Amino acid sequence: MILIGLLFIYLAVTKDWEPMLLVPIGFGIVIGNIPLFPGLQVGVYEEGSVLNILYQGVRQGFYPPLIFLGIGAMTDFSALISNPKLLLIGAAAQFGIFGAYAIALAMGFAPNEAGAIGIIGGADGPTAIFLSSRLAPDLMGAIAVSAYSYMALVPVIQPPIMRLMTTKKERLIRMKKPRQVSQTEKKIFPIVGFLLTAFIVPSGLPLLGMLFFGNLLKESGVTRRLANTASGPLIDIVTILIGITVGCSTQADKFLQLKSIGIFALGAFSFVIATFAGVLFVKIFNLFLKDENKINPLIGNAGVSAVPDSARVSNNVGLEYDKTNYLLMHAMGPNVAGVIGSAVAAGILLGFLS
Amino acid sequence: MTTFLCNIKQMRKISLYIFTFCLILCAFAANGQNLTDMRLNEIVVKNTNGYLDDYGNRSAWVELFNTSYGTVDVAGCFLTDDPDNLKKYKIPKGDVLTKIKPRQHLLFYADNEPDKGTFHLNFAIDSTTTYIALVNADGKQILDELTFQAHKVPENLSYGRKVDGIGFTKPAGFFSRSWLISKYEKEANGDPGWTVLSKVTPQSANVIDNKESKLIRLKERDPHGGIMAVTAMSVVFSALIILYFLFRLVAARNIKMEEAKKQASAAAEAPVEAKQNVNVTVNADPQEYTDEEIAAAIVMAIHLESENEQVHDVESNILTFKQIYSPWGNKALIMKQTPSINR
Repeated sequence: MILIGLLFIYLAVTKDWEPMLLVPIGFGIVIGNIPLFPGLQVGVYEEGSVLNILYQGVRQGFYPPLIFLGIGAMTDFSALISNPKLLLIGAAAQFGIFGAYAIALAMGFAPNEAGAIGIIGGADGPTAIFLSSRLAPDLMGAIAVSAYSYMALVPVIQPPIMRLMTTKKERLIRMKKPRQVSQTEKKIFPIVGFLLTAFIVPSGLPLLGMLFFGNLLKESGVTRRLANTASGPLIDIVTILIGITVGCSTQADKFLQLKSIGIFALGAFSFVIATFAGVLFVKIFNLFLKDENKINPLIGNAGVSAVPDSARVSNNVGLEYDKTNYLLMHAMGPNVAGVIGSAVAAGILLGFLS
Repeated sequence: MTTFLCNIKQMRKISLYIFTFCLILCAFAANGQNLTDMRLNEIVVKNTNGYLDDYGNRSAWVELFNTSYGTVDVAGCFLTDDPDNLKKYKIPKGDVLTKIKPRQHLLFYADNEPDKGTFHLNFAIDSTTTYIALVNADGKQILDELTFQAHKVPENLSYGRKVDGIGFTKPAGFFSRSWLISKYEKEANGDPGWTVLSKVTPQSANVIDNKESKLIRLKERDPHGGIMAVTAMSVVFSALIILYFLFRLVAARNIKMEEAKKQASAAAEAPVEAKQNVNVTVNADPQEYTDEEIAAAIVMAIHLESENEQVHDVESNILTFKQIYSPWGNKALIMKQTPSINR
């Protein structure tokens, strides 16, 4: 496990793969796997130890909503508001979650474990931690590491599927320039968005509430200091704590099991399904749209909520085929819709399986 | 201008509808976690070989249940068997054991021996008892009450809720479920939530909700996860589709308003543009600033541009002011509201 931790640090430092996450997680894995005498009250699973106290944020699930607060405060929903139909791509990509759920059931996992594993397909680390801490705490370490690892691997996993699913003509589709969104619309979005999604899926309240609250802080224009704190120091502190404690929780005796391998395999599979579903949905959706409103299917992959990595992947793949076709802003729409979609999906799983 | 004002009125009307809608939703969803969540849950009338109290005696008892997911302290509340005397037994304050944890139970012994401690009532439940109530600390608000015929409860069996906390109850909250059920209906049909339980369950759930069995049931009914996937995806899509339609409406309304606004501001700026022979766009609400202020800002901007003082963003034909730092505007330094000029 110590070698795995060091590998994470190596990948983050030399390859620049999600360094903000992989460095704390990698170092946490190293810390958590140093052999120690039980009873010294230093281990992450020993009640009252410093690491155990910090770990409660993961165990009790209060770090993920705080991260969502920061995500909300740094996310600009303009792309989504200017073209609301992109919301549906964010919904389609959630097929990854439920596809992985079905396969996990077939592999013999219990429904609650399958739900916790499936959420990896949402490509959302905090949501994966939140849900697994409720549904399958024993698998949380493997699920969290798997989710964050695949998030780092988005630029590797998604492009081949995107190319496979699209024709050259489709990749060259130029989307209409998004209209400029007014400040009033930006202010209304978090309030209406929250009320609507929270009433439909109340079990997603902690994540949805904090996400939209953070966005309201940003867009209200009168709480700049709070928004800056939420999107800056607060999210940084929580990211450090969540990374290091999740890493610590992956002790060899709990982590190196056959189940963990299954979780990693299912995690990869859920990413594949999510990308596939997102791109396929755009292709089908295009059949009903006029030529000038057609959507480039290369942004379908951005329905998973790895913000902004998957949007960046859409942009880069698009540029490979047309140097002047910038898809980044268009892809940000489904990307932030994916954040909402995965939080809603997590709420549904929690409602059904807890 | 008329269109602009009409749009503002319509926008306000829509906002009012949205606000009312949200208010109604909030009202129905409101569910505070407090004393109103307390329920009478189980009663034993004749106890000859059952549960022993802390003195080793057997007596009738009444069990309370905290239906909420937060701790509730019942100290200061009243228990009574007399509808005309709601303040019969006051639950003493200062005993930590009166705090009932989420979804937990608390037992009171109806032995008419209050000197034995907090949980011994000053009245006894026997075959003549017909009424029990839990009353709020004000001595008026009935949190839960039960009208029953104690003589019909068999010896060493209990009369309790079929499922903990579920069933008719005296309406305590504004939107409690029983508020919708008329008193007449309750009296005519009896309370279907209560029954003589086959097992006496002091300090524990009347029916054990086995979490694992729920999951096993789910696996049996939906072994491949197909139903779950379809249901969940329908919910995800529904939520986002509703959001989509809502924001299409808002966007359409907003585009109309923007157009009207642009027309109004274009009309106001036309003379200035002609005079300066510069394509100037004022990104300000015309309602918010006077013409003099706008004119002064434009003149100042052109002056600074001609002086080449690098105070503008580099953007052809558009004049903008860069925000310049000043301690006078720093909220962290002044920590009080910035004075505003009344116009």
